[in-house]
Amino acid sequence: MNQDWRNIEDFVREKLGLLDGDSQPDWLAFERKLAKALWRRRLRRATGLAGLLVLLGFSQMLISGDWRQPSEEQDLPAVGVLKRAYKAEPQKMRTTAYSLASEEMKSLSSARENSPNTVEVSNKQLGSNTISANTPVVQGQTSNLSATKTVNTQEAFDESTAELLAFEFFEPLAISKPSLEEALATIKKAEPVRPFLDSDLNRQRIRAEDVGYSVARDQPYISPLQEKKPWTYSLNIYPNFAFREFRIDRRKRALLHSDFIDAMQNAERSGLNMNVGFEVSRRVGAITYINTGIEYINNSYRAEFDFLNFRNANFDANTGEIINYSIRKDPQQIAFSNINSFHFLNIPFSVSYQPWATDHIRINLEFGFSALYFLKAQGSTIDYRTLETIDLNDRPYRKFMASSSLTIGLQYYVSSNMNIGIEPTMMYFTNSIYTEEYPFEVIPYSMGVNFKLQMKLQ
Amino acid sequence: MSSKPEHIIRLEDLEGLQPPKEILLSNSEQELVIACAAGEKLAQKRVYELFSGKMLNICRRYAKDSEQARDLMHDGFIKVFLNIGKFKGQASLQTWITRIMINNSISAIRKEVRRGIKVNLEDVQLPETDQEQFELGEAEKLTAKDVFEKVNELPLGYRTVFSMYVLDGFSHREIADELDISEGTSKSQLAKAKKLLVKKLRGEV
Repeated sequence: MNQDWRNIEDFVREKLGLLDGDSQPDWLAFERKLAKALWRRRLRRATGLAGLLVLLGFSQMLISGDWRQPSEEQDLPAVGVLKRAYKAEPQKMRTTAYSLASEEMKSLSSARENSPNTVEVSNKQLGSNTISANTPVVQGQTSNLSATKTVNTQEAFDESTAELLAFEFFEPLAISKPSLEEALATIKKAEPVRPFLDSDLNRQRIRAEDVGYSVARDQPYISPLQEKKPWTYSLNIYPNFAFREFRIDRRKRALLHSDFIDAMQNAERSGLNMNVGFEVSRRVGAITYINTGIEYINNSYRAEFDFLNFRNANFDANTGEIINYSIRKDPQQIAFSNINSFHFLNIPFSVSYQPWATDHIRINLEFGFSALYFLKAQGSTIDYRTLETIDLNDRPYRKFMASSSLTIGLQYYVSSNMNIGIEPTMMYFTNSIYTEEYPFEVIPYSMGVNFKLQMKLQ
Repeated sequence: MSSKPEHIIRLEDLEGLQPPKEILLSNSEQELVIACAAGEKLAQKRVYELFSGKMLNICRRYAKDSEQARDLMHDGFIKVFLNIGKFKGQASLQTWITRIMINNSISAIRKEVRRGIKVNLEDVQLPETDQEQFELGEAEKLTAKDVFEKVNELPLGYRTVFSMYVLDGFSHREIADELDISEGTSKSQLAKAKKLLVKKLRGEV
C-alpha cells in the first residue's frame, strides 16, 4: 500500500494523541464560578429543607385541625360589621377611635379626681343597675359614674362609632357578642394600646371583674401566639448576616507583612451564618420564657485579596517575627478569592419576653448567653506573615467561645406551629477563636440579622 | 484496521468488573480526590491545573468557539467538584473527568447540533466509509495543533459526530441516542465530515 494512503480516522487519532493541552491559568476566574455554584447548591438545599419544614408544618396543622377556621368569625355578625367598617376606612376609624377614647379617659379621670373615694366594686353590684346620679362613691358601693357616662356617651356618639371603639379596643369582647351598652361601658375603662406587661396581670384581672360581663374572664387576654404550654420544643433554621470588625494589634505588628495590612482589613469582616438547631422553651411567666437547646452554626465568609507584594520579608529564625524587608525588583500581584467556613456547635441560654402579639404577629425580646464549641475550619487564605496560600486548618484556634446577645424579633405565624421571623441581633463576644498568635484584634461586637424559620414540635 | 479506538476506557465498560481502586487510581490521585471531596481549595486547584489543558481541547472540539469551550470546561469542572464525592475510583480520574466533560459539552450543544444536522437531512445518506483510505500527501507533515485546528474548522454537526465517533469512542447507536438522530444520519454525518476534513488537510478548501 502506498504510504500516502491513510485511514483518516487513524491519522487524526494518532496526531491528536500527541496533543497535550497546556494548563489553563484562569483558576481564579473558575474559582469564582465554583464558589457561586457551591452557594447555589447550599441555597437549593436550604430552600428544600425550608420547603419541607413548611410542608410538614401545614400537614401537621391540617391533621391536628388547630388552625382557626374563617367560619368561626363568620358566625359572629357583630364582628363582621365592625371588621367591614374598619376595612373600608381603617385610618379614619382608627384616628377617630383613639381621639374619642382619649377624651373619654380624660373625662373619666377628672371625674374620678372629683370623687372622694376610690372605685372598688363587685360584679354583682355593677350588674344591679341600682345607680343614682351624682352620688359620692364609697368602698363597696356602686358608682354612678358608669351610668352617667354611658348616657352621655350614647348622646355624643352614634352607634357605629361606639361599635368601632368596641372593636378597636375590645375585639376579644366583641367576639363574645357584647351588647352596645356593654361595649360602651367597657370603653370607660379603656386605655391607649400599650405593651402588655407581666405586672399588668393583677390590674387586668380586677378590671375584668369590674366590667361585670357575662363574658368577663378570670385571666388576661393572651394572644394564641403567646405560648401557654409549660414546655415547647421547636426546630429553628435561620441564616444570619453578621458584621465584625478587625484591628491590627500593635503589639503583634512584627507578625504581619506590611504589604498585607490593607488587604486583610478589607477581606474578612462580614459573613453569613447558617444556623440549624433544636430549642426547648419553658414558660416561667404569663409572657416570659427561658430557652435553651443546641445549634449547629456554619459561619461562611469570602476571603478576597488583590494586592501588590513589593517586598520580601526576612524572618527571625527563632521567633518567626519579621525583622526587615528587601524590595523586590518586580512587584508581584497577589490575587486570591475563596469562600471559607468555620463550623461550631452552640448551646444558647436565653430569656425571652413577648410583650405584644396579635393573631398572626408576635414581638419577641430576648437576652441570652451562648457557649460555642469550635468544630473545624474549611478553606484557605493568604498567610499574613509569609503571603503564601495556607489551609485555614494550619492556623491554631481556641476550642470555646462565649457570647451574650440581645435580640428584638418580629415573627409572623404562617400557622399555629410555624413562624417566620426577622431578628436584628447584637452580640458581644468575651473572646474570639483566634489564639495569641493572631496579629489582629477582633472587636468583640457583632451586628447581625436573623431570618428565622421556626417550627414547633409540640 | 479497526476504526474504533481501543485505548479509551468507558465507565460503563468497567461496571461490574469492580477492579481494585488502587490499580487505576494512584495514591496521589486518591489523596487529591479525598481532599477535593472535603472541599479543599488547594487540591481542587491542583486537579484543575493537571487536567484543564486536556479538557479544554476536548471542549473545544464540541464548542462553537474558544469562549464557549472555556465556559463548557468551567461548567464541566464545577460538575466534577460538586460530584467528586461520588467518584468510586473504578476508572482513572482523568477518564472520569473526560467523560463528564464530553457529556456536559454534548448536552450543552445538543440542540444546536440537531438544528445543524436537520438542515442536511435532505442530502442522500452516504454509505459507511470507515475503511475508506485517503491520500493525504503533504498533510502527513502537519503538526498535531494544525490537525486540531482543521478538525475544529468543520461545521458543528460534522465535528460533533466525528469527535464522538473517532476520538471519544461512541458507537453510531450511542451517538444517535445522545443527539436524538437516526443511526443513518450519524453515519452520513461522519462520512461527510471525513471527506471535508481530508480536503481541509490537503488544503483544497
